[in-house]
Amino acid sequence: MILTLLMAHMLISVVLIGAVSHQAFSLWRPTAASGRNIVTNFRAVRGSVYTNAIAILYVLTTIGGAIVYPAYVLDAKKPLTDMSLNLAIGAFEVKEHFAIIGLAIIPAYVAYWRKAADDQDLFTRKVLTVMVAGFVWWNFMVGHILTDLRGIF
Amino acid sequence: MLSRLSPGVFATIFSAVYTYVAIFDITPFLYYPLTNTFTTTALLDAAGKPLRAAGPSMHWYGWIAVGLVAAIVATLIIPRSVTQRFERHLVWAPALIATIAILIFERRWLLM
Repeated sequence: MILTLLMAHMLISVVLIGAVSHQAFSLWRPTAASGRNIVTNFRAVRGSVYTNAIAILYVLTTIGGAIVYPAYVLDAKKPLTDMSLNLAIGAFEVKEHFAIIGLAIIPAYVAYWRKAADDQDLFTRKVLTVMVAGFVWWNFMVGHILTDLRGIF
Repeated sequence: MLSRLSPGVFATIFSAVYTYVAIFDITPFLYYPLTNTFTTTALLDAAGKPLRAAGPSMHWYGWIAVGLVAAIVATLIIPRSVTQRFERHLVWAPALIATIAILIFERRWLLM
């Protein structure tokens, strides 16, 4: 059961990281789709269409993480502590905090993307999007590295 | 109704209160995953040390609950019109400060 939830948590986070990366790139380096250049086409999306999906996926990922967290404490954190892998434990501690600070700004993120036509709020929208993207990337990378560490050791 | 609620107040209070209770480890309840138990006080043995049979305790859910309740109450009390000017330009600032505070606090893992 926990393994299924962990897989679901991971799969949702894969979709989330793709969506938020597209949106962040399209906002900071907007361009029109052209040619066969993959980077140019990656950022040539209409960022506003991702907003609701990102917000829902973020909430779902956080809830999923909260459900599987006890399994991490019992099955992964203890071996990491026994092996004195403090950097890994610290990275996960930061992950749990980032998840919640990100959750705190999600309503503001949605509100400022709803006003996407208003250029006066562009900087606010950019900062909120980069923060959400940064939290998602950190949490994704740490989650995967720790899962790998648990498998290796 | 929803348009009168301020996402800026929610972001500010949630991130500030969560960060404060996390750093100072203030929680209204603890969760023991090994025994699937919620308690309001730490489970101790006769010598006053953490009860080994109960396993590790988790404080994270308690910190979230405190931050979330405080943020919801503040958002319901403080109307958006009061915070609109601050919100437009600095809605992200409290969360960024909370992030920096957390990073400084969690530096302890590098020093161990």
